[in-house]
Order: sequence, then C-alpha cells, then structure tokens
Amino acid sequence: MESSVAAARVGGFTEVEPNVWDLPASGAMRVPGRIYASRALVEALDEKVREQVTHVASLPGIVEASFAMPDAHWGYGFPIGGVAAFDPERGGVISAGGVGFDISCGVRTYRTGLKAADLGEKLETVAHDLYRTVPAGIGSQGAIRLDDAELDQMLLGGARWAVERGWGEAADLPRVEERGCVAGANPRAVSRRARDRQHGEVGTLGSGNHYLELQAVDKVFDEAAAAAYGVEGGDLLVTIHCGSRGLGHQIGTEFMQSLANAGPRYGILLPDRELACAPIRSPEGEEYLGAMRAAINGALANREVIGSLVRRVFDRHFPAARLTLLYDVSHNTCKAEEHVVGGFPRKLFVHRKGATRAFGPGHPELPDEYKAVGQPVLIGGTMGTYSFILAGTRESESRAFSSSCHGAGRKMSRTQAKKLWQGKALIRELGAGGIVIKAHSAAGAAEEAPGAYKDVEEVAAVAEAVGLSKRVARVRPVACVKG
Amino acid sequence: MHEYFEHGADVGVRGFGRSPSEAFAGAAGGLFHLIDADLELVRPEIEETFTVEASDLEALLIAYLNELISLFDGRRVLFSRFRVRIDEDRDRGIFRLRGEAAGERFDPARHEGVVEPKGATYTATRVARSDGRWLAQCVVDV
Repeated sequence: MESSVAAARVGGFTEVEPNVWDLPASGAMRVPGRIYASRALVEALDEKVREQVTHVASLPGIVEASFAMPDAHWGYGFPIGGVAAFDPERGGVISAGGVGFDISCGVRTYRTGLKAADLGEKLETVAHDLYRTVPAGIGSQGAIRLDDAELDQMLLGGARWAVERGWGEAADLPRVEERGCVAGANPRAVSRRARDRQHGEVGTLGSGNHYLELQAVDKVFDEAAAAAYGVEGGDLLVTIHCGSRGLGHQIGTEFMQSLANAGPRYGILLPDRELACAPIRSPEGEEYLGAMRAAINGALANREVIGSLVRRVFDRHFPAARLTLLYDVSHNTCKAEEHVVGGFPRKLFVHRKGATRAFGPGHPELPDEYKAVGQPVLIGGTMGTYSFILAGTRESESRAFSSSCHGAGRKMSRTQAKKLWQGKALIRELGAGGIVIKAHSAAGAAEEAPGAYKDVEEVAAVAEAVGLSKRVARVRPVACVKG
Repeated sequence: MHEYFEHGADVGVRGFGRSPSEAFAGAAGGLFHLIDADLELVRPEIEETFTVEASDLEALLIAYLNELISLFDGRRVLFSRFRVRIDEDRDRGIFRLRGEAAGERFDPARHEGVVEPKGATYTATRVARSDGRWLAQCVVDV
C-alpha cells in the first residue's frame, strides 16, 4: 500500500527522514542543501540560513551537499553552523567567509579531580580569583609581549609553543586537535596590522560570547564513554571559550577583501560578497590557508596560556588538585582531511563555521584513551543553562564529513536581549539560582542572557538522533566569568 | 546620528547625514557606541588620520569601519569624534575616504566596554539616499 502521508515541508526544506531536511539542488546550486534539525528548530530558522545554505551549494568543487548543523543561524556568507567540503582536484575553493572572523574560536575543558561540592564556601573566592587572574573584557591586556620573531614561533607552534615556553603542560597536547599545532601555517602571510592587533592579547579571553566557566557534571548519558573521558557525576570541570583575538579578526577582514577581489580572476561569480573565495590551488588560496592556519595556532596558544592561568588559580585554592585537559575543539576552521565519498577516500578541505570536528571511534587522529569512544565534542550552552559533552560517531562521517554542532546558537538579537533583560538584575537572578557570574560588563551580560539562545538540550538531542555525535554527559554552570 | 537594526547574532549599525560623508561618520559613532554607551564623555585627546579606498561606496564603508576597528584594537584608542571626506576619482574608478577620528586611550577602569567588534561585514550593507537624507549601514560581527 502506498503511503498517503506527504513528506513534511518547511521553508523550502523537505523532511526526508526524521530530523533530516533537504533542499534539492536548483538554479546555481551544484549540490543539495541539508539541515539536521527538529521540526521546531527548522520552523524557528532564520530565512537567511536557507539562502546561505543555497549560496554555499553553488560554490565550485563542493562535495556531496551544503550542510547546516542543528544550532545553525544567520552568519556571514556561510551560516553559523555551516559545513561544506571542497575537492582541490575538482576546482574546489577555500572561503574566508566559510571560516569567519574569529578563526579557530573554540572550547577547551579541563577535569579538576575535584567534585563541585568541594568548592563549598570557596566558590565565590575562586570565581573572583579567576576573574582577576584571566584578562578579559574589551581592552584587556595579557602579561605576554612578543617580538616579531617570537610571534612567528607562536604562529607556527600553537599550543606546543605555549607549553615549550612554560605556559601549559606537555600532557595537554595530544588532547588538542592537531596535537596542539596545525601544520602549514605561514606567518609571512600575516600582515603588520594583524600582528599589531595581537600585541598584548596572548592569554586574554575577549568579550561577547567568550567565557570561562566552572561546571558540574549533572547527568551522564553514556557511562562507558564518560569513563573514557574521565568524568562522572558531580565532577568539577573548567571550560574556556575563546578564539584567535584581534590577530584572527584582522586576518578574516583582510582576506575576505582580497579573496573577493581574486575570485573573478578565476571565473568565480559570487551570489554574496561574503562568500569571498579562491581555488585551493591558487596563490591567493594558499596565502589565505597559510594565514588562517597561523591564526588557528594563535587560538590554540591562547587557550593553552589561559589554561595555565586557571591552573595557577587552582594551585592557590586547591594545591592538591591537578587540572588535566579533557579536550580542545575549534569551531571556525578549514581543515584538510581524508573522507570517504562514493566509496573512495578523497582529500577534502572541510569548512566548519560554528561547527565542530567530530571524528568517530578508531580515527587515527584521536589520543589512545579516546579511540574506542570517539572524539569529545564540547557544546557550549549559556551562563544559565547546560553545556554538553558528546562523542563523535562513525555515522557522522557519512552525515556531514565527521562534523557536529558547536553550541546553543543564538535565537534573539543583542538589541532585543538588552530590551528584555537588565544586566545587574540578570546576574542577581542567576546568583539566586546558585550560579556565580563575574562579568566585565553588565550590559554585555544582558546581551548574553540564557533566554537569547536556542534550547541547547534540543540541539544536543537532535545531534544524537541523526548520528552527528552522541551525548556523553550534561554539565551545569556553577560560576561563569564573562568577557 | 545613528541607530541600530536587528540581526540574529550581531548588530546592525546605521548612520544618517546630509551627505555620504556625514552618514559614514554617523555609522562610526554607532560602532563605537556599541563599545561604550557613554561615548559623549570620551575626550578627544588622541587623533588619527587615515585614508582608505574602494571601488564603490558600500565597500568604502566596510573598509572605513574596519580601519577604525583595527585602530581601536591595535592602538587601544576609544574614538568618539569622527570626520569623513569622500572623493571620487573618476579616472581610476575608485572612491577615496580621508578619515579623522579623535578619542582617548581605552581604560577598562573608566570605560565599560560592552562588546568588542570583530569586523564590519557586507551583510545588509547599504549606502543610499532615503527620505531626503543619506544612510550608511552594515552588520558588525561582535
């Protein structure tokens, strides 16, 4: 008997299986568009996301589909939560808009060996010490000043450079993507202006949605994976969310312009200026790749330095505690990876903008202790709601080139959030609920109100339902330092 | 003069004026007002002068705002006064902007620092005459 149930359609997308919505290739699209989302998330989706998924699908050399993760929202060129892979052998491009301004913005989480309950009356003191010790907010300066030669070493060495200089621990490195340092960085492609913007910003958290959080493991979904990740109920974790700071922003700004100028020389006509791209195999494409990889290393070094500052704080209050890195994931990147397409392995350049790499079990990039369960995927929530630890799956390879979502994803504009919440009242309210907030700007905190974001629990549940990654643990904020 | 418009994650900044130059300066005021709500109190102690070029007015607006973001981040000057002069070089088919900006050293103890602009983007970028005045707008990634 033929099914009489018509496929659900929302905003041009057709639900082809539960939580999987396709947009058939039409017009200039070379491949279909696909978003992984629940019906509620698709219905709430900004119209611009569909447009941007369509535009990305029209870029030369794109493979399989233009994907959007469950937390997708309107970005620049690519949607935030956009994933697309390009084949250099088939005219594939590299896009500055597909990486974004805050190159390699990401999350790292430390285990502390403590229980959240151990904080007891020290909670306020420790939160205050973190607020004082880790430079954050606009105009903040770190203690580290680098001359040009040393800056080059940082851009080449990433977290490895930080460890070599005494800011971090060697044991952290295998648990950072690329083992702490991405190959192929080209400091010569980093402009004077980008270098100037970096001056004084190593080891600074930044502002906006960047944060440093003390978290408690609230619920474990997968005991075996949690054991492999070394976490159990009640554990105290520390999470850092920040990126490549002014240096990365400047590289993003400059190359969006230069790639937009270069594109037409290669016959690339853009539906949107912010898709700015050039062939991977072109001098302009290679120049951007070199600069972007330098910024990735800048971000990895930055998070490693901040981690060492956090360790100092813990040494003061809990001398016996030892912070070990669970994992460090980046969000805004383009990485050269091997993926199986049509049964054959191909070297592709995977853009993940506001999306996380999520290698499944057995992947050679993973440290031994995580090989059986897959890569940790760290999903940041808000200062008042849960965050999640997920694990990459084998299925994710065929779903979206081993990618998953990166956070809750905004659902409300900053101006709207400021109309609805008042910073100081919000901080008091969260405090009454047991979450200590230390904010460098009360108005900035209002813009980051938990209600301005999507339901992170739904985002994580959809990621699991469609096989992008599976839930390992849910964590709740105990204290949050906002930039 | 400036106002803001809605964007899902970031902020739309719109400047107004009798000319494109005034509208650009208005947008710059909107950009720095995002950083510090009390911009009127910022003293014009440090001056910067710069030139940017672009092939059209929209690209010129983005180049101008990105130059200011870059100067703020690199030199830590919170700008509060803006003057803009735009000339069209018809022979070369470009627009040239000479910008003057004045402000004071950013001091986290005195300036709140609400959000940090990362870059001016082409999203919703428009430079046009509307209702008898010029407007210059774009979305800023913060």
